[in-house]
Amino acid sequence: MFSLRDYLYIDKLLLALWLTLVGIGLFTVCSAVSEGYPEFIKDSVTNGHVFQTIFAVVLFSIFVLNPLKFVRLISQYALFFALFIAVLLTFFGTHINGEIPFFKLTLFGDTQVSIYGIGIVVIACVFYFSYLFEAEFSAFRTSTLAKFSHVFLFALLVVLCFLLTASSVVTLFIIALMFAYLKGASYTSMSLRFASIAVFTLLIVLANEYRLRRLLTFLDPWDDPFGAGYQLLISLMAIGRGGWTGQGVGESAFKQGLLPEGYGNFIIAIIAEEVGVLGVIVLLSLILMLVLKVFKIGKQLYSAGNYFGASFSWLTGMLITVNTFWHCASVSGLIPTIGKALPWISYGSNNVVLYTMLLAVVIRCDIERKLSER
Amino acid sequence: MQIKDPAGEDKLNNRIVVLTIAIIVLFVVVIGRFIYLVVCEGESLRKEAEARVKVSAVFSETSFTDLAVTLAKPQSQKSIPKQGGHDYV
Repeated sequence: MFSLRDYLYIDKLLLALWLTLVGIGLFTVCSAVSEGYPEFIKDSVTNGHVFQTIFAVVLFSIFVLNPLKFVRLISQYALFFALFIAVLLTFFGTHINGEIPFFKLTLFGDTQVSIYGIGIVVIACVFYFSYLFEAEFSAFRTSTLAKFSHVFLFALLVVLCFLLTASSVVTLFIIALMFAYLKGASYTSMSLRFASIAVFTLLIVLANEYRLRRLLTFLDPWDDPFGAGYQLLISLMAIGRGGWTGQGVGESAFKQGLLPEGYGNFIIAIIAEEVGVLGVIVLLSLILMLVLKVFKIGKQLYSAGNYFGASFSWLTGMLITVNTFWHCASVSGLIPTIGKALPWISYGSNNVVLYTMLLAVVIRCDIERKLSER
Repeated sequence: MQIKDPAGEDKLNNRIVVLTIAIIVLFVVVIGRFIYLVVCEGESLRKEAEARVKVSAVFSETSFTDLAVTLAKPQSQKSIPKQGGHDYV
């Protein structure tokens, strides 16, 4: 039952880290889009991010203050939900550079709202794998037929996601791989799975000319400095211009329209230019602290017998880590450019809402553990 | 009802430790990359950056709206420099 007193049991460190990251994200996005962009982009990004942040806070309160029985109940249908969203995206999604990551809905007259469907698919899979992990411990063992149908449906989802966005397939594989690892798969089997995923990823890249060009550009961005290599080069220059301590908050020159997506998939470059590498280290340390705390909560939940919560916490921690790594590594030229949002910081991909929802479920699991131990 | 422990608690604890180390390594690699960019390539990147910023500052002094209006005007009304002077009609 809904209870305001449950707020007393919230992990204070996790709450403080989440609020800090959301605050930094709100400030950085509004600052990054403040100059050099046309008015309609400024308005759409600023209003969109403020709206998403408010929505995320409301969603956080709903998930944290209500028992998780319902969430656990619907988790078993999360794979069907993910498939449903993937099918909807295939037919009604918006195309960008040969990929279909989101829907565009028109609300309130002319206002357009983007719903990042592929993010919802990935989040639904976190719920589903947590349910499967709990089912492994359950007295009611899953039949072979049911297991086969799980594998078949997941394979179907992977194929659909392959048609939508390539990076989502890799994310789904990472979630599945981690699930197998936590379930106790041997290191030989893990190596084989990892190798097949690596080969599959390579095929995904080779199958599409646009992705192949991005890969080749990553190897030598100076080869096409005003074309395919432009974004990467500008982000490297922004990092170089920032140096150790940065040019000062609000003093970025590259955010003034020089770096496309400076408020979204390249936000860490703008942060590096304004607050330097030391600022980036502080930001990444905050995210790392949050992930380690989530992992610790997962371990406590496991010891308390809450296997759903344990698995959910570990998968959430891993998802935050992978996306943070992808964002920072692609912006700094360590890996090919992949359009990934930095959790809670970047604008777009509904990332504030989706990651807040994941974290709220982890916090709720922790509250329920504390309440049961009282 | 929970009855079994498929991975074994000790085994799972070890795996969580491995995952934790892997996560820390990923963060260290990314931070290391940023430090490398500043220490080893910082100077050349800074020079390139300043050059780009100067060029963009020159462009930003021209109002794109004015430029578009000028380009849209008929040829006869476009600004032509007077011979021998710096005034424009």
